[in-house]
Amino acid sequence: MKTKKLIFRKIIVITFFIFISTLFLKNVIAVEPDEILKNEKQEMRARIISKNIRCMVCQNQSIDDSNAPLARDLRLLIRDQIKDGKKDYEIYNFLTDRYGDFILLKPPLKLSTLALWFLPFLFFIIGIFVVFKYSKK
Amino acid sequence: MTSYLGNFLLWLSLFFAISQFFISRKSNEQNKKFISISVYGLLISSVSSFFLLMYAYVVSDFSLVNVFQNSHTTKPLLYKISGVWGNHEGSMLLWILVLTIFNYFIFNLNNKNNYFFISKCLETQALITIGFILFTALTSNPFERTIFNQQDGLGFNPILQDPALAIHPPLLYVGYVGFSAAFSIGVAALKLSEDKKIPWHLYMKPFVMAAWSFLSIGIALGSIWAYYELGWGGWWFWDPVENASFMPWLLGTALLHSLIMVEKRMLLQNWVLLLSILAFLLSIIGTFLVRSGILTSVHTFALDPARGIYILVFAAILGSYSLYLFGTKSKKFVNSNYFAFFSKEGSILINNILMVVVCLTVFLGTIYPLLIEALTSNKISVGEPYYNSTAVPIILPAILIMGIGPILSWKKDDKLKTFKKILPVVVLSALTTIFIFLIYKSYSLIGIAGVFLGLWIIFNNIMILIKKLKNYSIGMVVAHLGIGLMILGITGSTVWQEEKIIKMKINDNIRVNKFNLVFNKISEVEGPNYVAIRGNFLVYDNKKNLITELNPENRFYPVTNNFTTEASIYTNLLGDLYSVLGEGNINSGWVLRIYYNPLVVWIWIGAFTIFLGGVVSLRNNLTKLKSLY
Repeated sequence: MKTKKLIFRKIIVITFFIFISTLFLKNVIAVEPDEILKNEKQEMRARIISKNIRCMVCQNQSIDDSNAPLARDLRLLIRDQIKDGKKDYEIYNFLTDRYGDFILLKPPLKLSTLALWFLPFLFFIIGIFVVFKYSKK
Repeated sequence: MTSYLGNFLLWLSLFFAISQFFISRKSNEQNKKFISISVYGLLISSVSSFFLLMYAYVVSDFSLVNVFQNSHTTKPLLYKISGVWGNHEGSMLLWILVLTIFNYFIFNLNNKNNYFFISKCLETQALITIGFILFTALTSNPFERTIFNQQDGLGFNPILQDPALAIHPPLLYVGYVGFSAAFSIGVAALKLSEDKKIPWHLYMKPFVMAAWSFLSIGIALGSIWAYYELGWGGWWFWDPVENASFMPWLLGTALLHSLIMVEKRMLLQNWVLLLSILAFLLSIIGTFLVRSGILTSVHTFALDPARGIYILVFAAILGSYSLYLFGTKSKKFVNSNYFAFFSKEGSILINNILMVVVCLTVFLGTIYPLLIEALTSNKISVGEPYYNSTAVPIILPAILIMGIGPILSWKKDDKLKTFKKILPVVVLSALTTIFIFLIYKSYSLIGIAGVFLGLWIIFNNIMILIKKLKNYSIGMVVAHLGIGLMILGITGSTVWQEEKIIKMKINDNIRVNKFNLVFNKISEVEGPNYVAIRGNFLVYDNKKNLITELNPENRFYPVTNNFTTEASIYTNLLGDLYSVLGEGNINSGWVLRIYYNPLVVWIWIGAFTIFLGGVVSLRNNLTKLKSLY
């Protein structure tokens, strides 16, 4: 009985995914020609920013790499803001205000990320210390 | 029927593993026959259960849930076979298979003198095997039966249908599981710490060498798959799944090199034992991260926690058991041999430390988002930019030291003499770097550093070969050359990648680097289990000679209702022309994304060279081991 239920559940889940995928999976690639700004400098800035912004519906992909519709929306939004003369940090702030720190692929330096940024440095110092201590023998 | 037989074989292998555990605990000569029965029984039952599942895939036996969910009658034979390990349950069966094969290898090491030691190794190896068989049988049984008769399977993700990915998991698992043997040997050495005569490091080294070589090539194949199949133009994304294999590799690298130190000078034995324990624990934790679903979110883990919790508890048991043993016994392995900073062992120690620091950093980056999500209401992402500014800068000095380490002598080296030795290499590397940059006129600090370091490694090793420096190992030279080539490839493809994204109509052309692409035609093609739209682009060089044709595809797999993009890549030694076809129609044109990735192929050549070097060293290790018998 139990396995029967399990299979039933699995089938439902799979059908659901197939259904969802037909809704979302249109065959497109990331940055599309119609998005690209005419001003090369501005486009460069947009590309750099997009490489640091996470695609919220993907796994570990930047919006620059992602073909999800939401990523495209964000790419267009970033380009619009650049055209409006916004500075890079203003755009980052705008995005984190809306989506939180989760959207940044490079986590900001905060109290909660202190360990993340300083521990590697600390490990390095400890490592060097160990080598020196050991080599005195 | 298949289900019953499979379950029977699975439980039979559990029975043999348990009997091996208990018999090897009380090892004496009379028991030898029973240990041998258990080892062979375990090997035969796990091999049969694995091939039974493979058979079920080949004949599309949909009475198994696992086959039903992951296979389809229209799938090409190769992918039916690789489908066995292309899913969670089957891959655990593969894990068990490799475990029992290594178990058999350990058993084969026994002779009259070391019988006691080997049986201690087999005890731990049996414990690990029991853990994984129970995990498979209880939470991930590949032999679960379907209730209804199924007409056809649900297929499996077409993006996974790729030759590189088909052999990627087995190689990776040989790597992960190879560390289990090092773990068992390390634990046995700690248990028998009173007996100084056991050359445990000679037993451990071939296993570490094999594990490390296969892990290297396994990771490389994963990268090759990502590069060819994902169509993003990149090959490494610092994805948690990639990190899970990279961390044991880093510790494995450290372990491998410090084993040389034990062999030559009996230094740092306790450090090696610790590394052998940690390398395998990290392999298990990597499996936990990948298999539990915790990586996407702490909350997805909560949805189906059984698997994750099991692995975590198992890792905790093995970890506390082995680390406790290490804590109490490792003092016996301390020796006070003379140790100088400026020597071969000094350079090995520094690089050991750097590898461990990089490993800790990668570990931190991988689990930090989970910690933040679990402890606060916040969520953060740790992506490529983080690793580029933390892990990568630590790797750079390691590469610098790696060039000169093999040239230094043991115990103590003369600074002036060494300087004279490396001076030609420094000059040669610097001149070549300058020469390259004068030709290409594309300056970048990272580019210069990368090219210099790559050449530094290559020239140093060539010098070792030419001058026939004292007792170098050919395997080491080959593997290090591979690293040098790989650095050149990595630098080239990351620093000088060019990209063009445009909409093209038939007969339009576009210039990328020194190539000119002409959109020739677009057509519909039909594959074995997909339909596709295929663009055809003619590629001309500067002199308008036709070099090649690129045929990027958009595929649709009706069975799983998937769209995939199939990149078309022209590879040569200088660089890859990488094309991906996007959306479009006849009237407005088709979107095309083209990359020029310089030197990418050298990453793969480098990886295979590293593997080759590992295999050569493995042969040497085995010869050395045979001389004990």
